[in-house]
This record gives sequence, structure tokens and C-alpha cells, in this order.
Amino acid sequence: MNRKTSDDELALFFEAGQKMGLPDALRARILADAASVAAPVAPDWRARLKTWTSGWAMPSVAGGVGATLAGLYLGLVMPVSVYDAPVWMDSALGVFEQVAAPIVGVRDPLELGF
Amino acid sequence: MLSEQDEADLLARFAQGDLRAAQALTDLLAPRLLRFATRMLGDRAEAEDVTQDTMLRLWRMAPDWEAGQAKPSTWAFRVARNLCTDRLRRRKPMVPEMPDLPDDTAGADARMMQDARAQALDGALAQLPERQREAVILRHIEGLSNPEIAAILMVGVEAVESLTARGKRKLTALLSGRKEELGYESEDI
Repeated sequence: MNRKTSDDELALFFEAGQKMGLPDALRARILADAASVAAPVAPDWRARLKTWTSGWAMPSVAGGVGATLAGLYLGLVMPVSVYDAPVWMDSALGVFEQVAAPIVGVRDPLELGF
Repeated sequence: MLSEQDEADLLARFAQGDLRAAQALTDLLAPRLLRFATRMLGDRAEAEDVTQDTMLRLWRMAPDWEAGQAKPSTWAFRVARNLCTDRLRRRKPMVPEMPDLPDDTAGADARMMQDARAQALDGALAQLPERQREAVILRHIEGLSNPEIAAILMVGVEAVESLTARGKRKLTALLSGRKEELGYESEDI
């Protein structure tokens, strides 16, 4: 008669312990998790352009264009000569008197000792 | 059982959006994780939660997986083991609930005997110290190698051998009294 070793009999127990399968409901939940985590398909060029224009890039471009136009206007359309400083400084003081002084409550900056 | 490279390839394919790779990994890993967690926790519902949580972590980690790391299955068992340990520490000692173990391929008598043996095994496993139980399940039921188990339990290979040997000795002692009722020959165990 064959005599079984303890390993033989434990092996039969271990074999019996390997029969547990994966329930369909749990498998479905795991695969649903996988689908929700899976990497999305790369967006086409239209989607990328839309993302680009709706982010910070578009305001930056608009700001750059605006600053360039303002610079060209100040430098080319209304150039200001250093030698004409008394004239444009007087104009600036005129603007101050008309606009800033009523707000601040001072008529002439020279009165403040500037 | 897939090699480390095969498992890593499946994970890389999933990271690129291939859901068939996710199905293959699920069929490969989830049943083993569920068996392990069920035997560690003694509670089928909690074991299913642990299995789902482990697989979710695997999916999230997939894009960052680097070739040459541990096998994905080893990584998953380590995560499952940590989740089981957390749950065991949070709750009071309990008598494990033995899961039903369906096997449609066997006849009714054989299936009943198989179920009885599996339940006897689970009952005996539940009486082992936690680390011996982990080592025996991973080595003899899930078929992992000693170095893989050492990586999961974060101990040396010698410690795994010792835990496994002591666990098997205790299992043998626990099951020896039930061998006849479970259809084994009345030889020494």
C-alpha cells in the first residue's frame, strides 16, 4: 500500500483551495474602473487649437499685438522730441490741472514745492 | 503563468488605452488576488473590495510603470497584502466566513468533497499566524516563487522558507484529524 507523505495530502488541500473563480460582477467592476482610467485618445488638431485659444495663449497674443501697436503709434505717429520737452511738459501739466488736480485737490504741483 | 516581460507588456498596452490588455490582466491577476484576500480576511465582500481597489491602483499606476521594476503581479500582491493588513488591524478578531467554492466541472459528490477540503483548508489557514498564512497561501496556493514572496512580504528568502515550513507543519497538524472525513486514505499524514 502506498503511504502518503504530508506534502502529498497538503497538496490535495492546496489544489482544492485553487478553485475559487472571479465573480462576473466583480470582473465587470474592475473593467469599468480600467475603462475610466484608460488613457484618452489623442485629440485632433481642431481640439488642440480650441484648447490653445481658450487658454492663456490667446490673451497673451492679444496683449503682445496691442503693445506693439501702441509702441508704433507712439514712436512713429506722434514722435516726441527731447528738444520740445518744455512744450510737452507744459501739455502734461495742463492735463494734470484739468484731470488730476480736481481729483487730488491741488491746483498746481509747484505749490507743493516740486 | 506569464513572465515578468509579458505582464509588463500587457500593462504598457493598457497604459496606451488597450482595454483588451486590461481584460487579460484582470483574468490573470484578479482571481488570485481575490483568493489571497479572501483567505487573509475571511470575508468575501471585503476581499472583493480589496481586489477591486488593488486593480484600480494598478490601472492608475500603469502609465508610470518602468521596465525592470518588480513583476506587476508581485506589485499587486504587495498592495493587496497591505490593504488586507490595514483592514485586519482596524477590526476586532473574528471567526472567518468560509467562501463558497463553485466548481462546475466536477460531479456533485466530487464537488462537495472538493468544497469540504477547501473549507477545511481555509479553516486551518485561519488558525495560522498572519505571516505564516501569507507565506503558505502565496507559495502553495498561488504558486509564487520564494523571491517573489520575499519581495511582497519585504523579508529575506530564508525568512520566507522558514515561514512556509512552519506554516505547513502547523497545517499538517491541524488537518491530520480530518483526513478520513475528507476522503483521504487513513495513512499517516
